[in-house]
Amino acid sequence: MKTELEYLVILNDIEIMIDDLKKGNAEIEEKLGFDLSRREQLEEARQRVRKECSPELLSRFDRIRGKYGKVIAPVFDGVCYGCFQRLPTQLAQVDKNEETLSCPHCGRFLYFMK
Amino acid sequence: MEPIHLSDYLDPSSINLSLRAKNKDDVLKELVELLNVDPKSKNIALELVGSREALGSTGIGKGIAIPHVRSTIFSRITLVYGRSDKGVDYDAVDGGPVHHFFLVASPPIDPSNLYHPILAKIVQLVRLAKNRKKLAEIDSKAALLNLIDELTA
Repeated sequence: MKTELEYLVILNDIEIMIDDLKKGNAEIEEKLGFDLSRREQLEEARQRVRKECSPELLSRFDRIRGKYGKVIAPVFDGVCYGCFQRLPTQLAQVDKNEETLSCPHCGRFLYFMK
Repeated sequence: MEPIHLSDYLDPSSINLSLRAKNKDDVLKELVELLNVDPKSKNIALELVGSREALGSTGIGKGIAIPHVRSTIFSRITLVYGRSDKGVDYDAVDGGPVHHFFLVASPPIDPSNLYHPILAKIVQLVRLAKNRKKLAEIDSKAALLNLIDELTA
Protein backbone atom coordinates (compact mmCIF):
# COMPACT_ATOMS: atom_id res chain seq x y z
CA MET A 1 0.00 0.00 0.00
CA LYS A 2 1.48 3.30 -1.06
CA THR A 3 0.82 6.73 0.43
CA GLU A 4 -0.89 9.54 -1.43
CA LEU A 5 2.44 11.32 -1.81
CA GLU A 6 4.13 8.23 -3.28
CA TYR A 7 1.40 7.96 -5.93
CA LEU A 8 1.79 11.66 -6.74
CA VAL A 9 5.56 11.32 -7.19
CA ILE A 10 5.12 8.23 -9.38
CA LEU A 11 2.49 10.00 -11.48
CA ASN A 12 4.72 13.06 -11.86
CA ASP A 13 7.68 10.93 -12.95
CA ILE A 14 5.60 8.90 -15.42
CA GLU A 15 4.37 12.17 -16.94
CA ILE A 16 8.00 13.29 -17.26
CA MET A 17 8.88 9.94 -18.88
CA ILE A 18 6.09 10.41 -21.43
CA ASP A 19 7.26 13.98 -22.14
CA ASP A 20 10.87 12.81 -22.51
CA LEU A 21 9.88 10.26 -25.15
CA LYS A 22 8.15 12.97 -27.14
CA LYS A 23 11.21 15.22 -26.87
CA GLY A 24 13.46 12.79 -28.71
CA ASN A 25 15.04 10.95 -25.81
CA ALA A 26 13.57 7.75 -27.23
CA GLU A 27 15.85 8.01 -30.26
CA ILE A 28 18.91 8.37 -28.03
CA GLU A 29 17.97 5.27 -26.04
CA GLU A 30 17.09 3.27 -29.15
CA LYS A 31 20.49 4.09 -30.65
CA LEU A 32 22.05 2.64 -27.50
CA GLY A 33 20.15 -0.60 -28.07
CA PHE A 34 17.21 -0.20 -25.70
CA ASP A 35 13.74 -1.46 -26.53
CA LEU A 36 11.02 1.20 -26.26
CA SER A 37 8.45 -0.48 -28.42
CA ARG A 38 5.52 -0.72 -25.98
CA ARG A 39 4.88 2.98 -25.47
CA GLU A 40 1.17 2.45 -24.83
CA GLN A 41 2.20 0.76 -21.57
CA LEU A 42 3.28 4.09 -20.12
CA GLU A 43 -0.15 5.59 -20.71
CA GLU A 44 -1.69 2.51 -19.06
CA ALA A 45 0.64 2.95 -16.06
CA ARG A 46 -0.33 6.62 -15.89
CA GLN A 47 -4.04 5.78 -15.84
CA ARG A 48 -3.49 3.05 -13.24
CA VAL A 49 -1.76 5.50 -10.88
CA ARG A 50 -4.38 8.20 -11.48
CA LYS A 51 -7.07 5.75 -10.32
CA GLU A 52 -5.29 5.55 -6.96
CA CYS A 53 -5.62 9.32 -6.37
CA SER A 54 -8.72 11.21 -5.25
CA PRO A 55 -10.44 13.53 -7.78
CA GLU A 56 -9.55 16.55 -5.61
CA LEU A 57 -5.88 15.59 -5.57
CA LEU A 58 -5.85 14.93 -9.31
CA SER A 59 -7.46 18.27 -9.93
CA ARG A 60 -4.68 19.99 -7.96
CA PHE A 61 -2.06 17.82 -9.69
CA ASP A 62 -3.36 18.75 -13.15
CA ARG A 63 -3.58 22.43 -12.27
CA ILE A 64 0.04 22.55 -11.06
CA ARG A 65 1.20 20.50 -14.04
CA GLY A 66 -0.51 22.93 -16.41
CA LYS A 67 1.16 25.85 -14.69
CA TYR A 68 4.68 24.55 -14.04
CA GLY A 69 5.15 21.22 -15.83
CA LYS A 70 6.71 19.52 -12.83
CA VAL A 71 4.32 18.94 -9.96
CA ILE A 72 6.66 17.66 -7.27
CA ALA A 73 9.38 19.86 -5.82
CA PRO A 74 12.28 18.31 -3.93
CA VAL A 75 13.13 20.01 -0.64
CA PHE A 76 16.75 20.39 0.40
CA ASP A 77 17.62 22.02 3.73
CA GLY A 78 14.21 23.64 4.12
CA VAL A 79 14.18 25.15 0.62
CA CYS A 80 11.57 24.30 -2.04
CA TYR A 81 13.53 23.49 -5.20
CA GLY A 82 10.49 24.31 -7.32
CA CYS A 83 10.49 28.03 -6.53
CA PHE A 84 13.74 28.21 -4.49
CA GLN A 85 12.02 29.87 -1.54
CA ARG A 86 12.61 28.90 2.07
CA LEU A 87 9.74 26.98 3.67
CA PRO A 88 8.22 28.20 6.95
CA THR A 89 9.89 26.63 9.98
CA GLN A 90 6.81 24.60 10.96
CA LEU A 91 6.73 22.96 7.50
CA ALA A 92 10.41 22.19 7.54
CA GLN A 93 9.97 20.40 10.87
CA VAL A 94 7.14 18.00 9.98
CA ASP A 95 7.58 14.25 9.78
CA LYS A 96 9.16 14.17 6.36
CA ASN A 97 7.08 12.73 3.54
CA GLU A 98 4.46 11.18 5.84
CA GLU A 99 1.89 13.76 4.76
CA THR A 100 1.11 15.36 1.42
CA LEU A 101 2.33 18.93 1.83
CA SER A 102 2.43 21.82 -0.60
CA CYS A 103 4.81 24.73 -0.86
CA PRO A 104 2.99 27.83 0.46
CA HIS A 105 4.81 29.93 -2.16
CA CYS A 106 4.35 27.99 -5.42
CA GLY A 107 1.82 25.28 -4.52
CA ARG A 108 3.91 22.35 -5.74
CA PHE A 109 3.75 19.14 -3.71
CA LEU A 110 6.85 18.70 -1.57
CA TYR A 111 9.18 15.72 -1.40
CA PHE A 112 11.73 16.05 1.40
CA MET A 113 15.18 14.78 0.43
CA LYS A 114 17.53 13.03 2.82
CA MET B 1 33.40 17.49 -21.65
CA GLU B 2 35.34 16.00 -18.73
CA PRO B 3 35.89 12.25 -19.00
CA ILE B 4 33.25 10.20 -17.19
CA HIS B 5 34.45 7.86 -14.46
CA LEU B 6 31.64 5.44 -13.75
CA SER B 7 33.16 4.61 -10.37
CA ASP B 8 32.37 8.17 -9.23
CA TYR B 9 28.69 7.20 -9.34
CA LEU B 10 28.98 3.70 -7.89
CA ASP B 11 29.28 3.40 -4.13
CA PRO B 12 30.69 0.08 -2.82
CA SER B 13 27.48 -0.34 -0.78
CA SER B 14 25.57 -0.36 -4.08
CA ILE B 15 27.42 -3.40 -5.45
CA ASN B 16 26.28 -7.00 -5.03
CA LEU B 17 28.43 -9.66 -6.70
CA SER B 18 26.10 -12.52 -5.80
CA LEU B 19 22.50 -11.63 -6.50
CA ARG B 20 20.00 -14.24 -5.30
CA ALA B 21 17.01 -13.43 -7.50
CA LYS B 22 16.00 -15.82 -10.25
CA ASN B 23 13.33 -13.75 -11.99
CA LYS B 24 12.92 -10.19 -13.23
CA ASP B 25 10.63 -8.86 -10.48
CA ASP B 26 12.87 -10.16 -7.73
CA VAL B 27 16.10 -8.93 -9.28
CA LEU B 28 14.66 -5.42 -9.74
CA LYS B 29 13.70 -5.44 -6.03
CA GLU B 30 17.20 -6.60 -5.10
CA LEU B 31 18.81 -3.87 -7.21
CA VAL B 32 16.55 -1.09 -5.93
CA GLU B 33 17.31 -2.25 -2.38
CA LEU B 34 20.96 -1.35 -3.07
CA LEU B 35 20.11 2.31 -3.70
CA ASN B 36 21.13 4.62 -0.86
CA VAL B 37 17.67 6.10 -0.33
CA ASP B 38 14.97 5.74 2.32
CA PRO B 39 12.34 2.94 2.14
CA LYS B 40 9.62 5.23 0.78
CA SER B 41 11.88 6.33 -2.05
CA LYS B 42 12.72 2.68 -2.79
CA ASN B 43 8.98 1.93 -3.17
CA ILE B 44 8.71 4.75 -5.68
CA ALA B 45 11.88 3.72 -7.52
CA LEU B 46 10.68 0.13 -7.85
CA GLU B 47 7.36 1.21 -9.34
CA LEU B 48 9.11 3.50 -11.84
CA VAL B 49 11.72 0.92 -12.83
CA GLY B 50 8.79 -1.43 -13.49
CA SER B 51 7.05 1.20 -15.64
CA ARG B 52 10.22 1.65 -17.69
CA GLU B 53 10.53 -2.13 -18.16
CA ALA B 54 6.90 -2.30 -19.34
CA LEU B 55 7.87 0.09 -22.11
CA GLY B 56 10.50 -2.35 -23.33
CA SER B 57 13.03 -4.58 -21.64
CA THR B 58 16.34 -3.01 -20.64
CA GLY B 59 17.91 -6.44 -21.06
CA ILE B 60 19.96 -5.47 -24.11
CA GLY B 61 21.30 -8.97 -24.78
CA LYS B 62 24.54 -10.91 -24.23
CA GLY B 63 23.79 -11.27 -20.52
CA ILE B 64 23.49 -7.55 -19.82
CA ALA B 65 20.65 -5.44 -18.42
CA ILE B 66 20.75 -1.71 -17.76
CA PRO B 67 17.52 -0.82 -15.95
CA HIS B 68 17.23 2.93 -15.62
CA VAL B 69 14.96 5.37 -13.89
CA ARG B 70 14.59 9.12 -13.55
CA SER B 71 12.74 10.43 -10.55
CA THR B 72 12.35 13.45 -8.31
CA ILE B 73 13.43 11.25 -5.39
CA PHE B 74 17.04 11.21 -6.59
CA SER B 75 19.28 14.17 -5.89
CA ARG B 76 22.11 13.00 -8.15
CA ILE B 77 22.98 10.26 -10.62
CA THR B 78 23.66 6.98 -8.86
CA LEU B 79 24.64 3.55 -10.15
CA VAL B 80 24.03 0.09 -8.77
CA TYR B 81 25.85 -3.01 -10.01
CA GLY B 82 24.63 -6.53 -9.45
CA ARG B 83 25.94 -9.83 -10.76
CA SER B 84 24.23 -13.17 -10.93
CA ASP B 85 26.52 -16.06 -11.81
CA LYS B 86 23.55 -18.35 -12.49
CA GLY B 87 21.74 -15.75 -14.55
CA VAL B 88 18.25 -14.28 -14.32
CA ASP B 89 15.31 -14.77 -16.65
CA TYR B 90 14.84 -11.09 -17.51
CA ASP B 91 12.88 -11.00 -20.76
CA ALA B 92 16.05 -9.77 -22.50
CA VAL B 93 15.91 -8.90 -26.20
CA ASP B 94 17.92 -12.01 -27.11
CA GLY B 95 15.93 -14.24 -24.73
CA GLY B 96 19.06 -15.23 -22.84
CA PRO B 97 19.69 -15.10 -19.09
CA VAL B 98 21.13 -11.88 -17.66
CA HIS B 99 24.28 -11.95 -15.52
CA HIS B 100 25.31 -8.30 -15.22
CA PHE B 101 22.97 -5.55 -14.06
CA PHE B 102 23.76 -1.84 -14.09
CA LEU B 103 20.92 0.17 -12.55
CA VAL B 104 21.11 3.88 -13.40
CA ALA B 105 19.08 6.26 -11.19
CA SER B 106 18.91 9.96 -11.97
CA PRO B 107 16.93 13.08 -11.09
CA PRO B 108 14.55 14.17 -13.89
CA ILE B 109 16.69 17.20 -14.60
CA ASP B 110 20.37 16.52 -14.34
CA PRO B 111 22.28 19.82 -14.43
CA SER B 112 25.44 18.03 -15.51
CA ASN B 113 23.53 16.45 -18.41
CA LEU B 114 25.29 13.14 -17.88
CA TYR B 115 22.36 10.71 -17.87
CA HIS B 116 22.62 9.61 -21.48
CA PRO B 117 26.44 9.80 -21.61
CA ILE B 118 26.55 7.48 -18.58
CA LEU B 119 24.12 5.04 -20.20
CA ALA B 120 26.28 5.18 -23.34
CA LYS B 121 29.44 4.58 -21.32
CA ILE B 122 27.96 1.45 -19.75
CA VAL B 123 26.80 0.15 -23.14
CA GLN B 124 30.31 0.76 -24.48
CA LEU B 125 31.82 -1.09 -21.50
CA VAL B 126 29.72 -4.24 -21.90
CA ARG B 127 29.74 -4.37 -25.68
CA LEU B 128 33.03 -6.28 -25.83
CA ALA B 129 33.05 -9.97 -24.91
CA LYS B 130 36.46 -9.64 -23.25
CA ASN B 131 35.08 -6.95 -20.92
CA ARG B 132 32.09 -9.07 -19.97
CA LYS B 133 34.47 -11.94 -19.21
CA LYS B 134 36.54 -9.70 -16.94
CA LEU B 135 33.41 -8.49 -15.14
CA ALA B 136 32.39 -12.12 -14.56
CA GLU B 137 35.77 -12.93 -13.02
CA ILE B 138 35.94 -10.05 -10.54
CA ASP B 139 35.81 -11.24 -6.92
CA SER B 140 35.73 -8.02 -4.87
CA LYS B 141 33.97 -4.65 -4.92
CA ALA B 142 37.25 -2.74 -4.96
CA ALA B 143 38.49 -4.77 -7.92
CA LEU B 144 35.22 -4.13 -9.74
CA LEU B 145 35.54 -0.36 -9.30
CA ASN B 146 39.13 -0.46 -10.56
CA LEU B 147 38.18 -2.64 -13.52
CA ILE B 148 35.29 -0.41 -14.55
CA ASP B 149 37.56 2.63 -14.62
CA GLU B 150 40.29 0.74 -16.45
CA LEU B 151 37.88 -0.51 -19.12
CA THR B 152 36.25 2.87 -19.67
CA ALA B 153 39.36 5.07 -19.49
